[in-house]
Amino acid sequence: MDDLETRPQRILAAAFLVFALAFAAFGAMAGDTFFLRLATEALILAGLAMAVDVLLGYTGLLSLGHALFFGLGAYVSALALKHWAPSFWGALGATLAVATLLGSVAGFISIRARGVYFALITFGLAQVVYKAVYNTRELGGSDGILGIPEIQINFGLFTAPAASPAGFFLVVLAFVMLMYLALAYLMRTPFGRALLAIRTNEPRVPFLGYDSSRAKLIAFTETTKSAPMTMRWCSVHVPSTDFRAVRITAPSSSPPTPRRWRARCIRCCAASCRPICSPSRPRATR
Amino acid sequence: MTDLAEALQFVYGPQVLNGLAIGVAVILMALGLTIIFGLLDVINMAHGECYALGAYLAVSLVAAGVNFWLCLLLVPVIAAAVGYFAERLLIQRVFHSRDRHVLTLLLTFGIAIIAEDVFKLIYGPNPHKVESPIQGASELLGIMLPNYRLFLIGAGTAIIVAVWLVVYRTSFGAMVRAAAFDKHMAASLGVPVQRVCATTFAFGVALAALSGVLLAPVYSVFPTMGKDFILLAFSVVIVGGMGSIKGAVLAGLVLTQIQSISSLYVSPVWSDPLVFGIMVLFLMVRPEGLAGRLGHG
Repeated sequence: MDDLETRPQRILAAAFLVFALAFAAFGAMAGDTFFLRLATEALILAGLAMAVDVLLGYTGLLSLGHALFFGLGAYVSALALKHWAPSFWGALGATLAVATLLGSVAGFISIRARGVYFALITFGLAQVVYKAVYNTRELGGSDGILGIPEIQINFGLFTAPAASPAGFFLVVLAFVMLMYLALAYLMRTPFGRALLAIRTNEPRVPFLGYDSSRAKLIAFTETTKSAPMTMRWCSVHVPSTDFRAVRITAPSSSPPTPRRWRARCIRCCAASCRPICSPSRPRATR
Repeated sequence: MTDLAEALQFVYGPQVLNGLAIGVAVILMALGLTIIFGLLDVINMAHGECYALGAYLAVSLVAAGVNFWLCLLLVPVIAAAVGYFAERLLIQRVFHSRDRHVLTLLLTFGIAIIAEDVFKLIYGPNPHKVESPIQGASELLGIMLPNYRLFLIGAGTAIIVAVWLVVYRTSFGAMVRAAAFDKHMAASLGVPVQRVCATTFAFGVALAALSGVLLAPVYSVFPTMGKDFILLAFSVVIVGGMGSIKGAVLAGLVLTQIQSISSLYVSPVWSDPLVFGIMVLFLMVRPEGLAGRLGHG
């Protein structure tokens, strides 16, 4: 009973990976552009859906404002690529830094509210930022940002041109699969169990020794980070960037087995999707 | 001294009256939202689209040659029918589940997205305009104001008073308040709770549609008009207290005045973030809002 990610799910994920690789190979051979781009978009949306799933499906927080961070990632990376340096990793770093900062601010504001109020605050935040960006001429206003340079993604050993549909599809696929693995691991850590506990019975969580609002804040910030991570494509891929609301619902998961862990051990790790915690990983026995 | 008088006459006066005209319409929207939340515990994210529905129905009816005044009567009736069936067929289905808040929110949110695109499909993305039925302007306390806005303030106030009378002075209103206070008790005393819920939902939708018709000659009618307006209505409802009629009226007046006065000093673009900031402050400091819930005093 230790794994929330069941065996069939793992097989499905592996099958999906194989299928996606085969699809990329066929696409590249046939010289296809349309379907590869479409599939790339689908993968990116899947990444966003995973982020929302951590909040809604696991923690039980309905955020209607995650499109904000989705757009934020696109804007920040577009600006970084255009005005700073046409480097993929530079844009990624800038996006993560800004998303972490704004994600913690937005989380700090919205976590105080519960239930429907949380949903409303996140919705309002997204709407306000949308309006502010839409009305700011320096950010392109209603036209969006145009003329973003096409770049080469440097992986050390090799480079992948973002302009090639198949190459970029593979890059996005790798990122989404990494994100999936990271999130699957996260849900197995004590921190992940605490999120599940919050969803099941929030008032009881503090009695068990966990800091629920802290965990929620971290979850919120972490997911806001993973949302723009998948969203670099907009700037890398599409010549113009503008704020468009994307709303995705996520399935819920099975009820959890809350385990004891020390909330104090959670540290927000700025660069990755998982917090450093768990001095000893608890084994659930049933 | 004359400077002050002139500033009052030419700067603040018109701004206050314009704010009042918008405020009355916002209050109508917020009343619908707050009554629906007070009774059904449902946040109607599609409320802005109900408002847009009213405006588009007015566009269609006026184009078909129907008198604007007749529209004012017809549109709320059509919208109420839509609302009644939406409640009966869609919201009742998820109403009794444990995750009611999240499910109804997502459901109405989905309806809102679909409705927006349907408007876009039928009427196209370009703005429409409804001809104002009252032309000209008149002078009030030395301030020139379009006649239609004066009518808007008068009619809106009358409707708000009528809503208050319906909720607090009729037997239907008593049933609504009883059901909002305790559904099971009300049901055991013979209140047809399901029908009351559906009717109340329809009532709220009709109010939103009515404010859509009233504002159609002032603003243009376009597919995303609901979303632009709904945030203000939500702010009003939250600042006033979810499910409170008194609070919605009070907060509606205060917030729209803040918005219209502040736009004299900062760019009007930032009046929305300002109002939202007030809403966030209220949520952090006083989540219950200015006044108590429907049925609770």
